[in-house]
Amino acid sequence: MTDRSLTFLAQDALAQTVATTSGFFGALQEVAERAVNAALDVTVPVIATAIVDRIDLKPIVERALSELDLTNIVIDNVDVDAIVATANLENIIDRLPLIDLAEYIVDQIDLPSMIRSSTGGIAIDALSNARVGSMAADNFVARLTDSILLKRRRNTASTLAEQMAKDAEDGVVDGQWDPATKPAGA
Amino acid sequence: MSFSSWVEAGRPKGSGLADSGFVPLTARPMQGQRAGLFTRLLAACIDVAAAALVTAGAWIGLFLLLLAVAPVTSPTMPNFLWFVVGGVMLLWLAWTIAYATNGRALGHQVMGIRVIGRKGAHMHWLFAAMRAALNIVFPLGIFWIIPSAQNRSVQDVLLRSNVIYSWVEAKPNIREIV
Repeated sequence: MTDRSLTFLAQDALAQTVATTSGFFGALQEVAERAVNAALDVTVPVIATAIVDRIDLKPIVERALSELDLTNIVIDNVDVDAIVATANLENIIDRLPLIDLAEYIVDQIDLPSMIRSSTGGIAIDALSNARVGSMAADNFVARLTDSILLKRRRNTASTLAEQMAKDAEDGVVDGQWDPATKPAGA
Repeated sequence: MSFSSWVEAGRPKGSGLADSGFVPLTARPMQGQRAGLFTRLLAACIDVAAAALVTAGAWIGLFLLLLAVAPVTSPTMPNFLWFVVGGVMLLWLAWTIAYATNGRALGHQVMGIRVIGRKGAHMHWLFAAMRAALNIVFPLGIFWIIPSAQNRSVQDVLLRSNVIYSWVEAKPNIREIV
């Protein structure tokens, strides 16, 4: 036998030995992993249960929630429209106080006044004009008599500018007369 | 007012837009001021005319009734003076009720004025009746507005009442009245 053939034999034997050894260790590792997993399957739930039993989860959850902006997370990640689309609207409408809502809307838009103003608009305008004209006549009479009697009248148009200035101080805008904010003797 | 606060407040009526929205801007500063002679004279004339109309209606109504009862003979009507007395009593009653309740008789309603007591409230029934009687007994008292510095008639001076411009239906609220 030559030196070269001896070398081939030695290499072959070494390769076989390595293959056998790695197979053995692979099998051994697999058995060990199974054993460990089986042991963990038994022990981990027991330990976890024991830990959970000993911990008050509420403050932990509350702390976590306080550190999270849950609203924004929901807004960013949840399709609220899709949820609303699946809601049963009939049930929601059944729960709404529709008559109360209707009364509220009629009251807030002052529907009777709107009807009154739209139907009797011309008559109201004529009446308003007559009243304003009458006020002007009052002021004319007052000014005339004041000039004849050489005196100054109170509570008439001659002091209107002063009254409007006072209104401006009181926060009354555009001469808007608000009975609620102008109690008698105020 | 939100819906929930409206419900909590017991569903108040008229809590929406204010009635003052219908008062023209030019007339708003005058609201609560004492009314002048012309407006008050016109209001009084409207009331007197209304009372006269009712009296005339009563006369005609009675005439037609008597004619229907006895169509052959010419109906004998009571003395017309009774109708005048009736008309005056009607006027007194109407003014008394108006002064003591919402401060507005027909003429006041038309002209947008209101009779109120000394502190802005409605007049007491007794004073209301006295003022109505004074109007009838001494109608010329209204002309005291001319020399008065505060647009007050004799009736106003004696009974401490005020007549103010008040176009809206709200309760009387006056600016400071001296």
